[in-house]
Amino acid sequence: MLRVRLHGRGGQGTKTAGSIISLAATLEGYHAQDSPMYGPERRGAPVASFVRISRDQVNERGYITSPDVVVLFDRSLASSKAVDPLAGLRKAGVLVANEGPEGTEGSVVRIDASSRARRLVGRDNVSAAMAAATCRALGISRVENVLSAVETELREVGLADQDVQKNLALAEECYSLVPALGVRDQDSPEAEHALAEVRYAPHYVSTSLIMSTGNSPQKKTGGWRTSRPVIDYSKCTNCMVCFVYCPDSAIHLDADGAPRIDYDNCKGCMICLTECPIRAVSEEAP
Amino acid sequence: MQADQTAFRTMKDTPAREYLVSGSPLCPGCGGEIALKLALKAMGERTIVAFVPSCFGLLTLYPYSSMKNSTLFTPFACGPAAAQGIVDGINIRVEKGEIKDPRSKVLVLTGDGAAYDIGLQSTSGAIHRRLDFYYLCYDNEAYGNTGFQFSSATPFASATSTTHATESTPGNPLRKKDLFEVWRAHRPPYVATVAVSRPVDLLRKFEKASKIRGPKLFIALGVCPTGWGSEPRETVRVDRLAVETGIWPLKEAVGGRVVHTYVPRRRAPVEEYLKKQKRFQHLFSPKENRGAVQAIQNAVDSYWEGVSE
Amino acid sequence: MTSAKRMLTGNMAAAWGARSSNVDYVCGYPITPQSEIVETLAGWVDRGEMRAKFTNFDSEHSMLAAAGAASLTGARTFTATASQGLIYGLEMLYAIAGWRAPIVLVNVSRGVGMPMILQVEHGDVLAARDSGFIQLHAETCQDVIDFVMLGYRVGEDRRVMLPVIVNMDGFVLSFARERVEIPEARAVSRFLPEYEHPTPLLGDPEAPVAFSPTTTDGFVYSYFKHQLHLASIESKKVFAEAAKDFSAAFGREHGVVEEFMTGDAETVFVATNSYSSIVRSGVMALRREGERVGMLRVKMLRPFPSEEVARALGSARHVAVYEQNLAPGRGGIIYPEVTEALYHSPHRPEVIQSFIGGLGGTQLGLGEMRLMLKKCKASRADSRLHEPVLLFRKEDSDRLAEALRLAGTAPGTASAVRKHAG
Repeated sequence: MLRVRLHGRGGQGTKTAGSIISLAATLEGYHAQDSPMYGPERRGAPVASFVRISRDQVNERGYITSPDVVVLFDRSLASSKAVDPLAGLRKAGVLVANEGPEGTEGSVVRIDASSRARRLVGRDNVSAAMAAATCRALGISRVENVLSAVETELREVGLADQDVQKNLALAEECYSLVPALGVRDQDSPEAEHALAEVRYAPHYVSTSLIMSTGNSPQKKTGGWRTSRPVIDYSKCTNCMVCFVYCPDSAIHLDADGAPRIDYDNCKGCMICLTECPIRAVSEEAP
Repeated sequence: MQADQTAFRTMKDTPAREYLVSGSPLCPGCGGEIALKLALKAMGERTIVAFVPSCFGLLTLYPYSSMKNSTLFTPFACGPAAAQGIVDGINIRVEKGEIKDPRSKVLVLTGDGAAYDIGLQSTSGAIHRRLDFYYLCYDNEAYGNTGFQFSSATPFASATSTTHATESTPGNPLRKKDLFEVWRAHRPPYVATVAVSRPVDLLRKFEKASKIRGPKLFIALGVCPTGWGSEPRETVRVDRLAVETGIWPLKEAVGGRVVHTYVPRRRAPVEEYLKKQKRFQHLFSPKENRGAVQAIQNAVDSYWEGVSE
Repeated sequence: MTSAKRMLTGNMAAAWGARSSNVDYVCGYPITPQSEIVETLAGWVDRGEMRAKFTNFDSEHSMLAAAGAASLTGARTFTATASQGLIYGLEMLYAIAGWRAPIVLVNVSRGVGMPMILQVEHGDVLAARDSGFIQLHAETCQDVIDFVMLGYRVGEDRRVMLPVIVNMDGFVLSFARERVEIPEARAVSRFLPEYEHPTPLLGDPEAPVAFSPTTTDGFVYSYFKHQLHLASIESKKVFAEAAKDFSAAFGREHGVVEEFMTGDAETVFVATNSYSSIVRSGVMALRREGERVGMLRVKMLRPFPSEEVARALGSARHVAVYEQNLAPGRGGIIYPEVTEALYHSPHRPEVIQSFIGGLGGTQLGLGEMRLMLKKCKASRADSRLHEPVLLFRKEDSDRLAEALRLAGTAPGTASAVRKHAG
């Protein structure tokens, strides 16, 4: 059984990549299973998906806690304590990461899928690229089956013909760039977990309630950002427009009435940039 | 209300204090979130929010809460009924001398699914009982939280995940239910529509409502980048286009009499609004569905022809 | 300990239970056979005889939502419903339990349609068995008033904080008058302290509270769901304490079960609710005939008193579980609970047989008791019957045949099978 866990952000194609890997393996005659993490999180928020590949029937369900392979779509997730993408990765496990500089060192495969996707497809959706690179690194599927899986799954999610063709070119390129590491099929089951005893607690503990209301800034949704708004204070007139329109209350007014962006939580919607009447907000890398 | 009687003359008068805080799980560029943020600013710290399943159900997602206020999350259909319980419970305790009057207000917060469909009965009941409460529906014109399925707030020709645009059907074949009029037929003392692109209008309406006892009801346009397929950064622009095309009239009814609080001088053609959104994309590509677009324009024109104030 | 003795219906007793408990808030919505309860309370509030707020609602779902929410503000809240109404509000029962809002809800049991029926069947209240509500089932009108007070005392205890359903049988109890002692206010105040919610929902900015947030984490859901279970288990201990104080204040004893002549009984009938009275008289009649029989009446259905049930039935050879409900494809709902309680007993009865009767208020009498006893005795250890036996009288069977004939659906009649369908 080969267990693959994919980490990305909502909108990056993490789920689709899992589907592609799973279908490519199936086309090679393996048994496979893929499923997404189910959560309420939205575009830009950390998400995950899971693939199991086996020569026999897959007798596991749910999330994968000890993967053989981690596929990382977004470099920024690597340092996220909440996500902890490498958690449980087995010894000799493989990491396939979407980042440069490209190359393979030991069991770490780096491929700059985002740059390649922007060049070949025109947008930063790396599902086909990361799936193809992963399939190749694991040695689970020949290129023709990978491309067939890419085509099927991208059509399934409604991609237009021309975009499918561009993604096929991207997938083929990424497949060719990665060496086949040929990860060994491991028979060992998922790690066992210790159990805790649960006791009855006083009412305020045992009722689902929050007394620290307004504590969600601790969630730090700033990591969702794909662009960073930056205020040019030499132009800013403190008109408050950005403050009023920020959906997330991530812009505060300081003692002088100047808007201050809370980058820990700004999701990068860029409404402030669009609405700023004097164009004092610029767009920078996240 | 005359302008000189209001605390809100310009956007600069927007209260600085936040009750809706950052870190919510909502999508970047959520229009409804702006409406709620402003509404809470106008209502203040003594507001108890009774809210129901919707995207906003995630505003308390254990162990985090994105509202400083006290909140009660209830099943889908019964937000207004729960509000009744809160108001009645507090009032009788005050009356019996058990507690000092906490001077709290209750806000029911729902999306359009609850407001237009499953919760309409409990809303009808609460309005009819003249419950002293606020109701804010952020209307993103579909069941957004479950993947953008049709609701009775979905406008004509919008594609949703349960009203598909095909060669023979232009998305939703039905017209949007007129909730403003459904509510108004109950004769509540105050009912209004609001849009976040006109925040001063929104704040003033909540201010005006605060001086009235009884049901105070608001429908806010909730631009939904995820469901509508609009750019998150264009949320306020799309909202403004809804107002300027006349698709989203800004009005209020005090004691039943409808007054438009903003009348676009020269209405922009509806295409300008529709073209910004993927849910209407099939009306323009691969080929234009002139008939459907004209039908939308005609409905808007005919609405405004009937507007006298 | 002085108290007024009055002739009251079960419904009136429920209303007096609420009034005696000094409830702050009553939520009303009519349904037969419950309506008299809310009518009575509304009248008292309207005339100023009871200091509470009464609100009429637009459905049971709304009514229960308001009741639960009001309870979180610290108002002692009462409401009542029946049958379809309970099922219509079922979603809210789970919510109220999850909110840990200690309301008392009187359910006047009635069959759940279709076909529509006004008379008793316990399918309504038992459908709510897994909602998290404590359930107390009344035999008499006095039980109703007592259980309402005990319900508040136990539910509002900080160690519990759970809502309570007090169940009574529609018509048979709800409309039957009996002598009832209405407790004196001074005794009530000794027994039932004022309700204080530890974290009330008042909108105080200094003490904000967010009730029942959403969770997408299995470990969070798992924890709170299990705590709900532990709270329910805890309520049994608290009930025992409360019953002791109740006895001191009002002189009436209450346990989670009642054993009647079970000591040396060879056959024990398990019963609940108002028909327990009939079973009790049947036991006495059969005893006079020399039969060693007894009755175990289960008063508390949630938490289910497995230990007490096992103890009471541990020395019996036969157990006949008589119940007024039928879960299609399963049988009686209480039967497997009793059976499970006995599985770990060192002296498991030889026979545990399920009997279904009284559905829609059909009668129970000595004939049925005798039949149950006979069936139990005829069964041997190696022929345990899992299929429930429906107690259906010959005269009812004849009446049914006539009804089928009038409906045009009697077996073999020409109109029974439409020609085009054949």
